[in-house]
Amino acid sequence: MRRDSTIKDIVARAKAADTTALGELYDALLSRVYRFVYFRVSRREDAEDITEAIFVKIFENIGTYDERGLPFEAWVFRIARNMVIDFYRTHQTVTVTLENAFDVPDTGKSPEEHTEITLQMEYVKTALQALPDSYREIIILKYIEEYENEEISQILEKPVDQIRVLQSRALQKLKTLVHV
Amino acid sequence: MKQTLEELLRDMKSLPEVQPRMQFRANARVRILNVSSVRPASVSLLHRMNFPYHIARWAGGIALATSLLGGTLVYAAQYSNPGTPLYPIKTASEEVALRLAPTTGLKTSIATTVIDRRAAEVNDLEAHGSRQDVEKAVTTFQTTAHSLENIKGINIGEVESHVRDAERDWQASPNATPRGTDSGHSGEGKNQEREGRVPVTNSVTEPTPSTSSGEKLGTDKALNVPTAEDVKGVQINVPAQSGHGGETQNEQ
Repeated sequence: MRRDSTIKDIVARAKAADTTALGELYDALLSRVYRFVYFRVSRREDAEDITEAIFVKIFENIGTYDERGLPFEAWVFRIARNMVIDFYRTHQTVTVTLENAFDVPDTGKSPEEHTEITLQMEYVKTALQALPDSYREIIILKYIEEYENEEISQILEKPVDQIRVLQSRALQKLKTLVHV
Repeated sequence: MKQTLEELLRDMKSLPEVQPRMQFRANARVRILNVSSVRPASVSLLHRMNFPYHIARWAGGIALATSLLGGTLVYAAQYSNPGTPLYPIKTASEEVALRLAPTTGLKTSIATTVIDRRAAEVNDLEAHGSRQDVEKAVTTFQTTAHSLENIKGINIGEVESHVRDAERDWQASPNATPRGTDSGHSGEGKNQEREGRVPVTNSVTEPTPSTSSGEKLGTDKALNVPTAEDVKGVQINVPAQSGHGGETQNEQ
């Protein structure tokens, strides 16, 4: 994974209960973990709560992390994924139907204030919510966070071939939703 | 130029709403590192038991709030003042309680108790500490008051009023050191005439929970605070403090 040697060094210090190293891990990973959660739950408040819980869990269990075979970021995203699944179990999720997937998002800005690309991104973001969760998470990991298939395979604990198939189907489904 | 769907997805990282808020980034950092250093048993236990998240918030929040308002989470740390090794443990328990409190009323009660504690620290150091210690405690009071007023879901009016009352109380104390700068919270004038010590109580605003024995929380009996003799010899390993609060970095 990206910057693997740097993360490895920080993780080694964090496992030795170096609080500064824990802070460095938080700074390095927060944005990615937050985005992963936000695109899954779509409410900022929920994303913040879950993200914070994820980091508490990471730091509580970092002493048990064994780097042999599983990159640290894959381990982190597995925790993140499980926390999101736990959240789904205990909270009602809002179903976005195809009919309302194309409603103009209310961002408080007039159309003139939006660039065309921003509008397109808002449409795609809304359409993401209409995808099944298994498709959505692979879109997030592959196309938004730009992980390689091998890395995604380790996060999702699925064979690489299955990841390729899933990824292709997910993208095709999303293209259908946004009429690309 | 029209972008492909893949390009749009890649660029979605740049949307403002998908970035963590600066305030969340900073505040969560402090909370997470404090929890990681202290590891309050009630938080770890909730995670291990895989409680439904919303139930965990209520149970943990009420448990921690009750223990903060009416008892002691870590006995030895309750006597610590700013700058001492155990002080982070004291503030960490407050942070967790505030974080987990599920209602505005409970959050506000905890916040006012925290303000009372900061004021008590100032009073204590004015009586027994150096001028430097007092200044440190005053700064801590002001920083805490400011951060409490920014907490989501808190009754800001009540907290601000409590801050003003606490400042008025310690300024009326016979040991009070004249303040050189206005705290920015108090509407009162500086260098008040001292007419006698006004005791700072750990007053708890509505709702007022009580202990199982019926003692109103906030009283010494209900707090069941052990004496210094009781905690002599208690050893708590405190990790070295890292740079907390407000540090934000752009992701590389």
